[in-house]
Amino acid sequence: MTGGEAREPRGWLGWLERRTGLAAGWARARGAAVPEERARSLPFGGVLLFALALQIATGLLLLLYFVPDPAGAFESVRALMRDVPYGWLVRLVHAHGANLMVALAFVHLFHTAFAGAYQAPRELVWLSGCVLFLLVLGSALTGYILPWSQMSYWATTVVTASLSYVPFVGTSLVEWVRGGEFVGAPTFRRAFAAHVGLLPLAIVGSVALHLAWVRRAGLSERPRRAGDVRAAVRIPFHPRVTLRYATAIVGYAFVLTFLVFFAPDLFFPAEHLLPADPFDTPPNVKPEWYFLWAYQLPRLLPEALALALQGAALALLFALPFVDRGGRRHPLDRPWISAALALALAALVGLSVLGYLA
Amino acid sequence: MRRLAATLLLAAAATAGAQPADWDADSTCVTCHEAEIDAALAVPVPEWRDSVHAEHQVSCDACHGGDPRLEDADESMSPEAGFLDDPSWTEMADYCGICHEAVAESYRAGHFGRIMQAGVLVPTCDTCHMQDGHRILASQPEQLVTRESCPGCPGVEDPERGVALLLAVRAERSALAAAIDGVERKGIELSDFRAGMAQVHDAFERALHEFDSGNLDAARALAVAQYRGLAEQVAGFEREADGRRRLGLALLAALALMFAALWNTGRPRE
Repeated sequence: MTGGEAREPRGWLGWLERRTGLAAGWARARGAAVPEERARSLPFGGVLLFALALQIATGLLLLLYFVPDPAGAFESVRALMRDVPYGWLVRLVHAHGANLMVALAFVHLFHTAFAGAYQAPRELVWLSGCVLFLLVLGSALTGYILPWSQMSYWATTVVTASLSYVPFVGTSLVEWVRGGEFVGAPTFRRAFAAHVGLLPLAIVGSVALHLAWVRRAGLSERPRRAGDVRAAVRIPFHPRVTLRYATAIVGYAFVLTFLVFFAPDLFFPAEHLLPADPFDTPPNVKPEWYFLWAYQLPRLLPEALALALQGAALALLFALPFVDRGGRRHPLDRPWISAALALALAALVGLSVLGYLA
Repeated sequence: MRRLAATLLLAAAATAGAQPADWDADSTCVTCHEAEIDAALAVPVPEWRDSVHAEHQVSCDACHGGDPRLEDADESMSPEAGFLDDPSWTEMADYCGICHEAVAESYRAGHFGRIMQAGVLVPTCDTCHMQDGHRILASQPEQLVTRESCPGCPGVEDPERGVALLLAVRAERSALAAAIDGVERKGIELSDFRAGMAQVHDAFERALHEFDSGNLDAARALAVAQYRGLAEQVAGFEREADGRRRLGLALLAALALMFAALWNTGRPRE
């Protein structure tokens, strides 16, 4: 596939190769046969992997200066933004990167669902992807509280208060998550522990499983209409597909750079620039854009019904590969599933817009 | 006691995560006065809704006493509920001073406060700040302080000069606020500068509300100097923000070139 076996390097590189097998592994990966259309499609998964690496790298750098305590968190973020050399760059890349990563995760999820790429033999790829989606949302939520600004404090109050809709145990659940009756220092410490410890571990573990299962099942082909029996053209992963990944990653970096340098306040209203004050509720307290749909639904429906709907939607999301087992992947060949997905997407966007305007 | 009650009410509303849009929906004061047959009694409600007081969830009872939670109007405005009605002109500074403590203290200790004790009718808080009713706006000194309105004022020999000095301080403050807004829009947080600006403002307002023309010049000069000192530092952050944008442009150009090169290389060849 690649013109024969690669010659084993000599010297210390050979020593390293005999122990790690990295070059052989890369040779196998670059030669792996993948569908030709992968060199023309948008590689959301690959870009998400890059985004995750960027989040981990910038997060580790932020840890060098961030003071993980409500008494010093806001001041330390201010110092990062104004005094630490290039601290502003690291912090803004992390903060905007989180928003872009959540947006990409939504797109990747719906793209995969519309393409029916969750069908056999990729059920585990889908399930691990759904878990990853929830972990990314959890990571964004717990990271949002850490600057301990007015909006992070009050948005966390609103988001955690929504747990009170859970029947019977709602109030206890809110107190358990907050570590007390109100959002405060215990909530902050829980969020910090989850954001820098628990969730990154879970995400990295889930990504490893996700990638291992992607490799085992192979990259999915573009969905074809029923009756289209043309054989799929397969090409080596390198160079065309790797070039496609690199192009998409540079595109992502371009968007992120634009946001960091030219729209630094896009995701962060003025309330983000004020220290948290539990005695001063700012007007229009709302969660971040990716939770607006969940914030708005209980305002339109009875709370218990809204919660039940959200739970059912989540359960259906996980169950999709076991519900849609027809083997036909093209959206037009499985109209009911496509219609349900379109409805879910419209509801998600519509509720978010309503929540934004509320 | 009323100050404590107002503070506790504010704290309770805040910690309960009250929704700003409907936080006053259960107020007996608001519902009764909105439905008031006597139009004059309904006038304060829309004015108050537009005010800085409503913005900060300070309701009628913070100044007028009473208990807006009691459904019966008579009960909510009874002496038992702590109802105080409208203040007389000699009580005005005490009413406003429930929250605006420092300014009221300056007023009482200052020129007008002293001669008020002798029974002289003097301007009070509402003279300047309730020109538009319960909207409680910033004073308009250019309309209020004239030779005609202050004919007997020994300290106001040149009202135009006094007004110009006051407006100059306001202009410095507005320019600083606009500069801070501009820098924050570019991603540099300056809430400590806002706090510094508020401190200068408070100190100047305290001096101003003594209405002692002898002290006013010094207070004005100090406020202008402090505002300009802050503005210089903010200008430093403005230059820093502009430098960041130049770096951003260079990075975007490099990324655009990389993207074009990769795109071109990855194109399928015939």
